[in-house]
Amino acid sequence: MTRTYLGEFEELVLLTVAILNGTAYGLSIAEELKLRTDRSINLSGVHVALYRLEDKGFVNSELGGATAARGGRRKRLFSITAYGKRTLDELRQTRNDLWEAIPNLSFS
Amino acid sequence: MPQLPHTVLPPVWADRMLRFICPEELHEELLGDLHEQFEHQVAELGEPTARRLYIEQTIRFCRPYFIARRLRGHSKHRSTYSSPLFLDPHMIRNYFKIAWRTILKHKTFSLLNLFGLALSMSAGFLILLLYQDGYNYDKFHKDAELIYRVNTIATRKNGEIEPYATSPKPIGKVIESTFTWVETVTVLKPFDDVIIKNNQRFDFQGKVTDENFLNIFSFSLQSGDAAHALKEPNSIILTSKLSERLFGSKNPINSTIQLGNRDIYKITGILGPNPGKTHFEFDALLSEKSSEDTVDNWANINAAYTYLKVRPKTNAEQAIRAINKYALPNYKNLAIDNRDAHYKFDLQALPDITPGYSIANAMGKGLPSHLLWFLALMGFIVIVSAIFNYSNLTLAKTFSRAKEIGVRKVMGANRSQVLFQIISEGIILALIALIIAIGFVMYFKAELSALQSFQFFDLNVSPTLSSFAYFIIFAILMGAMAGLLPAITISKLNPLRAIQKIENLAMFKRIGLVKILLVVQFAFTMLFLMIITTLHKQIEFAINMDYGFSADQVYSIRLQGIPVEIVRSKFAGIAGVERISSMDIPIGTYSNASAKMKIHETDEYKSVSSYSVDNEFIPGLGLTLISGTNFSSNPSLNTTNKEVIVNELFTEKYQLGNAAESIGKQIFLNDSTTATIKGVVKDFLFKPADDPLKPLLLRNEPSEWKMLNVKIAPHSTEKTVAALQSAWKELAPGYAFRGEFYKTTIETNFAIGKDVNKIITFFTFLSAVIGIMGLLGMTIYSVEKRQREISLRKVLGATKRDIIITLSKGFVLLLLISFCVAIPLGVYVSDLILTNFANRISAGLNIVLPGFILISLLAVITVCSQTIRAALMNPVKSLRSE
Repeated sequence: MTRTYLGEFEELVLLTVAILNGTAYGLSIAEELKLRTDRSINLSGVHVALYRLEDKGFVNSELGGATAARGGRRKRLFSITAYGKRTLDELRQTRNDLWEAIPNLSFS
Repeated sequence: MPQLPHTVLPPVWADRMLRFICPEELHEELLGDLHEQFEHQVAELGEPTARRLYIEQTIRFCRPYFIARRLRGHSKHRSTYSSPLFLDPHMIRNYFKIAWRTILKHKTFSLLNLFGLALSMSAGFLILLLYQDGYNYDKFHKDAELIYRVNTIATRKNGEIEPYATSPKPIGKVIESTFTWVETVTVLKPFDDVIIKNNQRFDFQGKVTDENFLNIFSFSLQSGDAAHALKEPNSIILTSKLSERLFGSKNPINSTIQLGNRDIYKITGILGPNPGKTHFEFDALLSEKSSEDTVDNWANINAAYTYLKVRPKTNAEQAIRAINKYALPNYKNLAIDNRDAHYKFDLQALPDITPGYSIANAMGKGLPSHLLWFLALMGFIVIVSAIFNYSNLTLAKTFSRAKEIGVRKVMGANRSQVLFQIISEGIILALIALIIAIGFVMYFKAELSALQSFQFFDLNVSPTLSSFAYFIIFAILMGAMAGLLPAITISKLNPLRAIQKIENLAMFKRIGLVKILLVVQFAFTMLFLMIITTLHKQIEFAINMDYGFSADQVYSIRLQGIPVEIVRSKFAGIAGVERISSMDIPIGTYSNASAKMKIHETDEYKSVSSYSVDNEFIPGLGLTLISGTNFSSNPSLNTTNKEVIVNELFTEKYQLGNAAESIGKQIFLNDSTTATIKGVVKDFLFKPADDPLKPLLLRNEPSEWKMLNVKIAPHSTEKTVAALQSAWKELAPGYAFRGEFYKTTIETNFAIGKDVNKIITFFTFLSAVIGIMGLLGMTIYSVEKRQREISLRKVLGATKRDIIITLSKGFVLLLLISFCVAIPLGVYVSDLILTNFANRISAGLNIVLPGFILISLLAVITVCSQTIRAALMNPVKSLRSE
C-alpha cells in the first residue's frame, strides 16, 4: 500500500495531537503549536488539517468537554490512531535513514 | 485563566458569516474554539484588538475546503454513501444529456429562447467589439502612464465651463524650464497646408513640433534619423501614406517640397505606419519655420497642444496645482476672449484621452466615453430583458418538470445537483445561441459600417481572435445568469409535494413576478418607440421646415483660393446658370461666422453673426428686403464708413426702432470703422434648426468671399452641374471640385442625429422582438395550463368569442398598464430631447400613436394566434383523459 501523503503542516498538527493526547482540540493545538514553533498559526488552518487527518484515518475524534467560556459549546477532541502513530514512526525512520546517508555531516 | 463576564461577545455578524460559510455539522466546534480564543485574547490584548483579530480569524475560514464541503452537504457522520460532487465528470455528462433532451422536448420554447438570446447576445457582442475598438487607442506608446496633455479649462462669463484640448503656446516652455519633475515637453501647433507638386495640390494636415515629439511618443521612422529630423528649420516628416500619395514607391528622403506658394521644406524622415490606433491626427510633422514669431501669447488658448512626460512617481494632482500656480499670474491684466471669465489648466493622462470626455479642439476620432456608456446601457437593457424572458419561460414550463425534479430528489440528488442541472440547460442554450449570434453580428456589422458616424468616429467592429474568447465567456455567463433564477426556484421544490399535486405548488406565486417583468419589457419598448418617433419626426421637420430662404436650386461651390471674379465670369457663361452670388461661409451649417460690433461708441464690442455677401445674395436666395436698399453691384469704396444690411431681429434686439427707422443708423465695427445700415432683410434661419434665430449682420467685403452660390435653372440641373465641373477643371487644374446643393448641406447637419436614431431603432427592434416572444411564451403557457378549464367552458356553452376574451383579458390589462407607465415617461423624455432644438415639433399624440398602434397590433396578433387556436380546439380531446 502506498502511504498516504502527509503535508508538513499536517505532520506538525499530528505530532501535536500526539503530545496533547486526550485534550487535543482545535484551539489547544493551535496554542501549543504557536508556543513550540514560533509560527503564526490561524485556527482555520488547524481545523482544515485536523479534518483532513481524520479523513485519512490518522486521528479519531469525539465531541465533549463543553465549558462556559465556549458559550456551552462542545469541543471536538482528537486522539491519534494506531495507524497515525505508525505513520509518524515510519516518517521518522525514513528521515533518520536519510540523515545517516549524508556523507559529511559537518555543515558548518 | 481569568473568567470574564459574559457581556464581552465577539461581533454577531462575524458568527453569522461563519455559519454561512462552514458546513452545519462543524458550527458547534468551530464557534466554540473561536469564542474561547476570543476570550483569551480579550484578557491578553484588550477588547478592540481581540475583536479585530476575531474578524480576521473568521474571514480566514473562507477557505475552499469549507466552502466545498458545505456545498457538497457532505458529512461522514450522517451517511456512508458518497454522493458525487456536482462537478464530477459523470455528472457533467449527465447534465448535458438531460439539457439536450429538454431542449428537444420543448421545441417551441427552446426556439423562442434561442432566438431571443441570440439577438440580444449579438447586440452585446457588437457593443463589446465597439468597446474593444474604443479602448484600443494609444496603447503602443512606451510609458503611456507618464505622458500627460495640458488641457485648458475655460470658465465663461455666464458660468459655463468648457474644456479645451489646446493650451497657450508659452506654457510648454514654462513647464519645461520650471519643474524638476518634468522629463520632456513637446508642443504641437496645427498647421494645415497644401503641397504643390507638378502643378497639383495635395492638402494635408500638419503639426509643427520639435524633436521631443518623437522622443516622447513611440512613432517610429521607417527612414530618417528621429533625433535630428526636426532640428533644422524648414524640415518636414511625412507619413508613409502621404509620401506614397506624393512620390509613389520612391523614397523621397532629403528631397525638397514646396508648401503653398511660399516655403521650401526638406524631407528629413518618413514615418512608418502607426503601430496601432492613436488620437493624433497628422499627415506630416514640420519643424518651426526660421522666421517663426516668438511672441508669447497667453491669451490664445487655441494655439497649441502641449504634451509632457513626467518622471516616475509624480503626483498628477500636485503637478496640476504647481502648473496653475506658475501659469495663472500671466493672466493678470491680460485681455482674453471676451466671452471667457478666466482659465485654468489641467493634466489629462494619455490613456484617458480617447475614449475620454468631449473636449473642444479635440484631435482625432474615436467615440467619446459617454457615448460608449450610453450604448452599454442600451445593450444592458436588451440583454437583461432577454435573460428575464428565458427565466420567465423556463419558470412557466417548470410545472411539466416538477415530477422529474421530485423523482431526482427522492433518488438522492441534492440541491446543488438540481441547481447545476437547470443552469447547465441555460448555458447549453446560450452556447447554441452564440453560433447564431455570431451570424447576426456579421450581418449587423455590414449595416453598421455603412453609417456615416461610423466613418466619422473611425470605428471598426471586426472581431479578432481575442474577441471570440470574450464571446464564449460572455455566452456562458449569460446562460448561467438566465438559468439561475429558475434553478433556484426549482431546486427548492419539496420532492413529496412535487410528485403529489403540481398545481398547488408555491412556485406559481412567481407568476406575479413574471407579469411585472412583462410589463417592464413592454414599457421599455414603448418608451424606445416614442423616442425614435420623436427623433425621426424632429429631424424630418428640421430638414423640411421653412428656413426663410429658398435654396432649392442653389449650388454652393468653394473657391479654395481661386479669385472670385475669374470663376464668376467663367460660370456666368454656362447655360442653365441663372444667378451667381458670392459669400464667405455657406449658410445653413453650424460654422460660426461672426463679427464684432457695437451700437454706441461707448459700448463694448459684441459678437454678432455675420456673413460677407454681395448684391446678388439677397435675390439669389429668395430673401426679401423689408426696407432700405440692397448693396450696389460695386462694393462701396468708402473704407471708413461701410454699408451693412441687418435682419429684423437685429433692429429689435439692439433697439434701433422699426425697419424703416433703422435705415441710415450707424454702428461701430471693431476694425475701427463705422457702418451705415442700408437695408433690413426679413428674418431667415441661417443656422441649422437646432439653433435659434439670431441677430444678423450682412457685410459687403469682397476680400472675404470664399465661395459662390450658383442658382441653376430647374430643367437641366444635372447637365449644368456637369458643365460647372468641367469649367472648374479648366480654371483650376489639380483642385478638387467642392460643391453641393444647399439641400444636401442642410441634410448633412443631421447625419449624426439620423445615425443615433438608427442605432436606437436597432435596439428598439431587439427589445420589441424579445418582448413579443416573451408574450408569446406566456400565452402558450397560460393556454396550456388552462386547457381543461377552456374545454369545460366550451362544454357548458361558452362561445368562441367568450373564450378568446377570457384568455386575452389578462394580457390586454398588462399591456395597458405598461402603456400607462411608458406614455407619460416617454412624453417627458421626448420633451427633454426636443429642448435641444430651438425650432421643434411639439410632443403629443403624434409621437405616441405610432408606437401605441404598433405594439398593440403586434401584441394582439401574438395573443390571438394562441387563444384562437385554443378556442377552436375540440373540448373532448382534453377532457377524455380525465
